[in-house]
Amino acid sequence: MRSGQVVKIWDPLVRWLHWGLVASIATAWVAGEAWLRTHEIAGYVALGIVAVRLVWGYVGSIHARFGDFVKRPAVIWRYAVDVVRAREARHLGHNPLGGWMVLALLASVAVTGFSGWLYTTDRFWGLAWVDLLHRASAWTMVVLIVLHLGGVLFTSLRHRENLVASMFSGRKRR
Amino acid sequence: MKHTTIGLMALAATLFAASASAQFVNHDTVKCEGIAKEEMKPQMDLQRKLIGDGWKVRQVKTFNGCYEVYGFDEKGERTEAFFNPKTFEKIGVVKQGS
Repeated sequence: MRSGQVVKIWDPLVRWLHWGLVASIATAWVAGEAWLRTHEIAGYVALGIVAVRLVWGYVGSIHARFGDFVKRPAVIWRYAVDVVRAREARHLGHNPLGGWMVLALLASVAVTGFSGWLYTTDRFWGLAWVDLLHRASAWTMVVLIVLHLGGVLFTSLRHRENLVASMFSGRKRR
Repeated sequence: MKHTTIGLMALAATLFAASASAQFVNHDTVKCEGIAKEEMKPQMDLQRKLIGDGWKVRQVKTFNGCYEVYGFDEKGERTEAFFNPKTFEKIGVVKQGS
């Protein structure tokens, strides 16, 4: 990769929030019910990260903004068809499928975190449906993370670039 | 890249340090072994007994062979407790995180 052809795509806050979310979710998952206090703190950290990311989605740098990557269903469908036919355009920011993945991941973390918090209140403590909602949204999140990793790997191979490294450095080839 | 890695490690360390200060019965190490299915008394009986003791029961589950009860104890404290399904003896209470 020659210098001069490299552009800054992900601003520092986007990268910190991304890896912070990875760390907090991994911590919450590992801690589980065995280390409840750690589990809860990690959950609140994750909720905080989602809240900041939502704000940043409106006021952040170009590629951090929802306006940059949240596309209409028709656009997503066309992109998906292009992917199947191996002719999809490369995107410097999120591609149309990746953009919706961002929203889905944020939503799953938000529901998981919120239902977890509900469980700590007297009003909702111990209720089976809150328990179920927390588990269901957490497992939905796991499925989304697997799909997200698959998408990152697939797109990296397709366009011959290391998207994981880009999420660390913030840089991509032009 | 290096800074990010160090930052992540610091975050993980902070989260784990927070767990060291908490004191509670460990949820995952609770076990009720050597109790045959037919020896287990119905969950409803435990629920009825606890309600008689002044508990408010929200949910009863089976975990590692024990009955796990979510609710409020006779003092009105939010409680997650494990019981022997044969004797209904209380095995332990999980300290709530918040």
